[in-house]
Amino acid sequence: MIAEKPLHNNAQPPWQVWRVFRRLLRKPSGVAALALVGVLLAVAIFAPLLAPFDPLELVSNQRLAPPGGVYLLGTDDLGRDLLSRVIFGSRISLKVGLISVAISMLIGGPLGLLAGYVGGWFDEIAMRLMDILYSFPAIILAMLITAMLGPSLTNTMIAIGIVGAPGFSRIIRGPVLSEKEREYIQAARALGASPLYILLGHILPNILAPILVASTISFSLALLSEAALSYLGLGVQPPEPSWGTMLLTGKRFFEVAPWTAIFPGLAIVIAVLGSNLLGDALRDILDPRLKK
Amino acid sequence: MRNYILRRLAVMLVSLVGVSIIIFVSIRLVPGDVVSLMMGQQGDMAAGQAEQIRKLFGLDRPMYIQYFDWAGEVLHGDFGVSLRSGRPILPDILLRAPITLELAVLSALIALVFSIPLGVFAAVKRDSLLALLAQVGSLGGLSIPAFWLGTMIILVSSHYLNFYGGGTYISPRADLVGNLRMFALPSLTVGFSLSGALVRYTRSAMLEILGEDYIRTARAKGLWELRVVLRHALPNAMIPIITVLGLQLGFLLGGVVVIESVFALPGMGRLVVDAINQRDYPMVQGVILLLTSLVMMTSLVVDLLYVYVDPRVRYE
Repeated sequence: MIAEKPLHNNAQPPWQVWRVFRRLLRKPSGVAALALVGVLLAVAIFAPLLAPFDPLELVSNQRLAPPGGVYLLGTDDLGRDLLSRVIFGSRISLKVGLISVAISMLIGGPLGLLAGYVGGWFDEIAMRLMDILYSFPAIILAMLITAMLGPSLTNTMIAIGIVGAPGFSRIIRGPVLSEKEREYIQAARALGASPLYILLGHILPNILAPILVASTISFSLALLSEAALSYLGLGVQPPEPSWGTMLLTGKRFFEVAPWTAIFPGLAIVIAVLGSNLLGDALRDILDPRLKK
Repeated sequence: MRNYILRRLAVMLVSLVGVSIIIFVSIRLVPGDVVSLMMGQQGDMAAGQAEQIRKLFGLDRPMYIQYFDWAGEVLHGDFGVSLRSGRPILPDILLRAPITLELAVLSALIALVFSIPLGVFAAVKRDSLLALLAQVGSLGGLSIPAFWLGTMIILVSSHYLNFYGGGTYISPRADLVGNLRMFALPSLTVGFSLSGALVRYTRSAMLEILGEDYIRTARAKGLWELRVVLRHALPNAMIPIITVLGLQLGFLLGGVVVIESVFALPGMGRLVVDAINQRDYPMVQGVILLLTSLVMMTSLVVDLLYVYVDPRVRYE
């Protein structure tokens, strides 16, 4: 029996990372995305080498020093070097982005896979539950969860992860529904493959493209949510150098020291922009039907 | 149509029960209840007094009894009493709701007024400079955190333009110009963020529609291009645009809640942040329940809008 070609038959199989990478390099937006994400990764990995000062070191006679000289981006209200804090902040943002997306995937992924594949009452109940979570304004649900768990870096990631889960389950359920009706799946079933094997071995590899695209979008939403939560005082707590927490401090002093608010915000914009551009470029490459 | 609305309302009711349980339970799992917070502030309060206060607030009873009591009262329009101020909650919420609603409506209007024409233009004149700017702007709307943009707008407007409407709330009935002046910057901020997605989807919906055969026919008939775009293409592109607008409602309200903190507007957002920090359970429950119902109601209205935008849509 000849198995039908999988759903995204125009797309490069996503595991061929190198080919996707080469196609990204052929698009101007792909190059820009890779450059921005590359900078974010490099800064996060080499933070201790790049940062000129200890991000937590207080210098009492250098409070709110303007940018220039030794302190390239100036200092904050406690005399800490802003550049070093922005550099180390990239680690927190990267961590929040990656772990929150992983949590969303771990909750929403299996639910979406099972709901789409099993169907019936399981699908109905799982999707209604997800709908209930979805009907909350996202940031308010995240606020509620961080308030419940207590404000901290870990709890911020859990909150953002839970809030993102319904989106993943929906994105995964749709392609599963259409994929499970295809002939190659029926063939696998006729050959006696177990449902688990069909789900993980056949369906999952064929729906990796939308999952990958959704992950990059979720990554940027996670960065924005972390910043918003920390800005409201419900996220990462001082003295950890999160960009959102830095903005909260910046808000208090921006009249006299605008740089305390400008630079952490710019860092967020660059990181989110990179991730959004990467999501767009990946969608164009992996899922041509969704091309904008 | 009536059946559809009734069914949707029934589903909404079930969802609201789910939402209310989630809110009720999660806020009670917050470490440290209001009484221990009060004790923290008044160190001399004895442990016995704390128990008495818990009893007074009904916090010593099993959680499910507390829930049913609260839900029953809510159904009678009684949202309870603030554990902090001792005042009934509903009047407090109703006092602040117009601020949040006005900000949300103005932001949505700004977003629609700018993003639909821009999105249409970006699709029709694909290679123009304005189209490129619209694309870059929409990416900016998606990537720039609204609260940071708000902070930057305050910085620029107060330092360089001498315009900052913030401060105490001015009711539109007392002074409409003053009110609009006050809302101008916050609603521009949220509107810009909201436009990010709207410009994008308008453009892509229009691009898809403009490639359809009936558009070629319309052009072949010699119709004026503006008429082709506005009369033949745009109404059909409105369906995906309305869908996106519906999906953005939660985002809009969330954005509004955060922006209120930036511009010091005394709306529901500030109320809920303060209530969470003070563990004022009934207040948190009330505000979030109302905000969520609002999102659900508006998304129902958005779904019903389809019927008016697209006569082919029929709800059975």
